[in-house]
Amino acid sequence: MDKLLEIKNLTTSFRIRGQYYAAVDGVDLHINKNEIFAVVGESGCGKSAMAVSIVGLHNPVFTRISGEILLNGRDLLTLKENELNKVRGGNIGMIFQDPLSALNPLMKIGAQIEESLTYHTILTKKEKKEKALELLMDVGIVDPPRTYDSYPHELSGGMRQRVMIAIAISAKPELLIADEPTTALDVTIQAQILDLLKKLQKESQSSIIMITHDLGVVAEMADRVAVMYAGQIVEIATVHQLFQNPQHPYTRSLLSAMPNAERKTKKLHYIEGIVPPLQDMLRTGCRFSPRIPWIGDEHHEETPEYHEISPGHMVLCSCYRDFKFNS
Amino acid sequence: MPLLEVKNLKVHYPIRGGILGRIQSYVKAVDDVSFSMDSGETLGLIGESGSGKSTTGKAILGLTHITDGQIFFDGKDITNSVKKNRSPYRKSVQMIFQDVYSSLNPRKRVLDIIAEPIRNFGEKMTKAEEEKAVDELLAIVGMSPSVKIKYPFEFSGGQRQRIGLARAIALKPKLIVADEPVSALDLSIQAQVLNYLVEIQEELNLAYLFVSHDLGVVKHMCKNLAIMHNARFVEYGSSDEIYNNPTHIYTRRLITAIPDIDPEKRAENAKRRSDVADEYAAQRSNYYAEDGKVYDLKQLNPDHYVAMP
Repeated sequence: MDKLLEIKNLTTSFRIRGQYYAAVDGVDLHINKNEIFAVVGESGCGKSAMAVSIVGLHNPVFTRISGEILLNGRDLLTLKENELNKVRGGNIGMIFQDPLSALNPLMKIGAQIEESLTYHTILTKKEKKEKALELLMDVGIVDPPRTYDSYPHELSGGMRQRVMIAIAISAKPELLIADEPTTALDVTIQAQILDLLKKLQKESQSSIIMITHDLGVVAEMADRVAVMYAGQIVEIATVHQLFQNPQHPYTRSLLSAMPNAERKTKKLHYIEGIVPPLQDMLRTGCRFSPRIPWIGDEHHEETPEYHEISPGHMVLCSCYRDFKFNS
Repeated sequence: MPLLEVKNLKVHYPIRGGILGRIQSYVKAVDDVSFSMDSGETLGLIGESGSGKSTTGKAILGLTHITDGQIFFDGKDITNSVKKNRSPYRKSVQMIFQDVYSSLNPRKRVLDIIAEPIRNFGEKMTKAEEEKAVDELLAIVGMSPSVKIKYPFEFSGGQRQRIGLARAIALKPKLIVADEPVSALDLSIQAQVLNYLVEIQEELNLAYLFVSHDLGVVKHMCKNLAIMHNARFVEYGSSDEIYNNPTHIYTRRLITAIPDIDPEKRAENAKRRSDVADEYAAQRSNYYAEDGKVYDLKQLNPDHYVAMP
């Protein structure tokens, strides 16, 4: 399969009190053409930091990025700001969690969609309006002319997210990055937005990076999944491999923490401790080991490596072999 | 005798307009809702944002005014005394909030936060007794006594929610209104807080009114549940009944919308979802009155009520 995006040894560090700490720590992954790739993990695991690094939306004063991000073979990290501006919105579209703060409250919806078209296409004013109305139609807005003339505050949360998607796909990007696109929405609206994203992806044969903490969303949407913990990918697999045969202790803990009707007992499994803050993160050995203290040191590797479970299914550190839940 | 009985509760907010600021009409946040709870029971209140579920919880606590209806607690009509500061009812009903960052006073130590209800309502205690009581409460939520002298900012979200829980149980209440207590927490922390909630319930024979939009969590926690839409109940009964035999179109829409964690069932779920969506579009008029109002509840069987014409 053709690779659309390849990330090699990506490290994104943020400065805290004069010191740099890696929020994304040596991540390697690739995204194929025409696939939905999910990145899942709790808050503070580095999944958003990774997304922001791809499009270069970080604050350069406090951030250091190293490694390679190859989009169709071109390294995005070496691009100049004006070249990067063509990529942002052009080759890569982005959808954020909170559409109300991502949209400009003082601009009408139509103008915001046309703004993106101005940067990435050479259409006349009239054509742009037609295109904007067409886009609103594509994302399932019932009355496009009316929405075109509305301000963001006049729309419901679901409608705003549809508008965000319309802006993100306006220049027909090859890659869409969706950072928790449905977290702020009700379940019924969430289902509609997920269906819409899936439909648009199929039609345009593009790829989506879906960042989420919701395993249900992953199971419904993704083709392949990466599980992130403390800045590293601890497990990467196809969605079927991951849910049928989860290997890494972190993945298994997350799955068993989900409230589930089939479980007989009232007790849910939870992970001891918390995701460590950046400054206190363990930088050597298995980073998940402090949260499974009953698994002895001899089961972890000193410098964890990826182990292949089956083709395309990789797990970090050898502790998955002997991992058991402590009851 | 039920612990809490709510009869025809209405909360309407006036909309004022015109130059004289006269009342033009009302927003009906809660419109004619009735339910009852036994002690030790968990009732789940589910709905989308704006459905009136939080307002229902607030009305029971006296945090918002009641337009009409009655609330009975332990058999006594307390509708008029809900808002009175020193009423004994206030001791028996407590609340846990969704936002753990704004529900703890940032300038108070954990000791003062947890002891505050005791100082206001509880028996007179010496400093040493108070500290001992706080230690015991902290132990119940699995925290060490040493955290007493710390401030809220020193804790993670899950720990804060446990401090909120310790404060809520300080007066040995009979009912706790939990308004989205875990929706701001990460999955693994959410599991821990839910475990504590269950444990404490068994120990103290507490009743929870569990307000949530997360059907997975509600299914795990609640024996009975009520589904709210447009300020009214659309379905009310035991969880098993409602999950296995959802009758109102809105309930079915809600249940089919939950993402399944089995990727093998993806196509099946999508099919079911679009079927329900079609049905919703086609048969909406069978389930809602002309003005969009939800009908009154009708009994299907002893454990199951549905809003039908």
